[in-house]
Amino acid sequence: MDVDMNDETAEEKYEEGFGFEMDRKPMSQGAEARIFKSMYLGKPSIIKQRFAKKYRHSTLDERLNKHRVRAEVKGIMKAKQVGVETPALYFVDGERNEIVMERVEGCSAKEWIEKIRKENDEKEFKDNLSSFGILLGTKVGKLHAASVVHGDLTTSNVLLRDGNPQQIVLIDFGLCSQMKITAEEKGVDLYVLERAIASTHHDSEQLFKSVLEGYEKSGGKGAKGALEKLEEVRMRGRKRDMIG
Amino acid sequence: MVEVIAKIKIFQWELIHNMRWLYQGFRMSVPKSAALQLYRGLVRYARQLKLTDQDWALRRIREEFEAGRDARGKRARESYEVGIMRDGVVLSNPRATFHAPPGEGFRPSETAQHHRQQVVKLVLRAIKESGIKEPEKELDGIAFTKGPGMGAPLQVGAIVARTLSLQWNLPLLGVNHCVGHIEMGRLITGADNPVVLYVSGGNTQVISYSMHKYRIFGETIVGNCLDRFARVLKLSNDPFPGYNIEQMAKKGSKLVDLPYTVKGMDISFSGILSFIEKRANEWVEKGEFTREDLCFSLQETVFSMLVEITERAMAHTGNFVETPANGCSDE
Ligand SMILES: Nc1ncnc2c1ncn2[C@@H]1O[C@H](COP(=O)(O)OP(=O)(O)O)[C@@H](O)[C@H]1O
Ligand SMILES: [Mg+2]
Repeated sequence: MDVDMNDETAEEKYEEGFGFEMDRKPMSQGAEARIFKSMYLGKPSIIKQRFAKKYRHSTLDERLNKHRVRAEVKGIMKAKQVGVETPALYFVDGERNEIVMERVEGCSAKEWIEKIRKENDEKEFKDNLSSFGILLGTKVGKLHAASVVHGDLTTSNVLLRDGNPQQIVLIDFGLCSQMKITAEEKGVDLYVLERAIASTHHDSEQLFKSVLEGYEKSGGKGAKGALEKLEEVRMRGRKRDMIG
Repeated sequence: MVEVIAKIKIFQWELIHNMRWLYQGFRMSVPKSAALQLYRGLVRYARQLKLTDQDWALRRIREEFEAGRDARGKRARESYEVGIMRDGVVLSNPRATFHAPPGEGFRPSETAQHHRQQVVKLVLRAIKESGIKEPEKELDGIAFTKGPGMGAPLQVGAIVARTLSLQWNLPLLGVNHCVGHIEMGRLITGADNPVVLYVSGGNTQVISYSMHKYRIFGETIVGNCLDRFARVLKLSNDPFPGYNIEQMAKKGSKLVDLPYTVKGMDISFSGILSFIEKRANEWVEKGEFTREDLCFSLQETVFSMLVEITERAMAHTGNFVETPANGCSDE
């Protein structure tokens, strides 16, 4: 695309040049966004669109969607900086609350776990799960050490490039927060993951144990505090169950 | 199958199934502000549905609302119920309701006393109304609420159930309080695999059945939001704080930017509370926001958070229509 920067309409053309009206095919609808399959300048990509939720007050809805797009972009960038792989970002449309990013080919950790459960005997399954858990824990630890909490750690939000458990790509950073992160927030982040695992995969205690193992190894000096808080958050959950 | 169900209703619950939103909470009046808000929200939500029969959803929501409205009292109340069921049909279900004094919560001992006074009458009435002549032979089992809840009133149910089971030589079945509410909802609505948002005074949970168990998917990390909020704004707690917040909220219009904390499927109100505690009085003095605005904002924010975690749970369990290649594209 040739853009003459002296041309008055350059800016417009420039935008058009991004192929903004891209071909889009609905791919999935997750917890809060619609995902479309698309091609971006010849590269396989996805468009993540946060659409308006009518059950919310419109001002609140707008504020949240904008905030989450921003949080997601920042989180993805920050993660890259500290050596945690995330999809490449191609384009962000703040008006429409859309993010265009690299399409990671492979599967989610959720699918992978259920696949290896079928294909392996129990021991192999556990071993596989362990080594994957340790690696995942290391990644989470790195994020926390850099003062980023993901906010929605689940096995659907962990993608495996080419289905390879050694190639973890973290996605879905819309609920992440950065800076001034307390040990409590880190503990809650881990707790969210623990429960997500427990409610998605049966017989998978091993996985979260390994995650904690990897976490402890990599999480730097904050890790110990976070693990203590995790225990506290768990206890609170249990106590409250008693009073209904 | 016939079974006796003695259940102590304490709070309210809502049930949501495959985007068919139903609301049943009006029978029990504890957080009424939440109830009305939910109703309005559900109607709003139902209008937006694309994959479900809209009219059906709206009609059900209205019906539930109408049915519940008659029973709405202004005071927090708690009822003791005895019911007899056969094959999912309720044969009889008499209840006795205990009202807390205005402005006060329940005292376990008084509530228990009330239950003790009523229970024999209720059991007899339940048997009579159901047309059962020989309970030993006609009943298959006895179920009761085993908790969680207030200890003393729960004991009344447990003792009665145990006595009856010994007397008639029938199996005894303790039912978890939450599960009881959920099962009741499933029965009434015919939903087979619901994601449930369980709102109660002390705690809020998103629950669904998965891998042979009801599991908690998300919950409040810090609860008891309404009471503390009302205290900061110095609202009266007569008849109870939630009611007054609701009344004030009706007159509010400006939306205050309150912290919105959703983590996974958990929510936390601590941010809202400390935020309000720090700024509320200053705002009100300077006239930036009125107390009404603050109540309005609280309702909108908390409501959105509740619906959002429910929605997240639906996406998580797959009850939500995931990957609808044509369903979700409106472009
Ligand atoms: N970059 C990506 N490459 C491939 N698949 C993706 C990508 N981003 C999201 N997905 C798919 O879309 C689903 C939902 O995306 P996600 O970002 O988690 O949105 P939500 O917040 O709605 O959960 C993911 O679970 C994953 O299967
Ligand atoms: Mg996701």
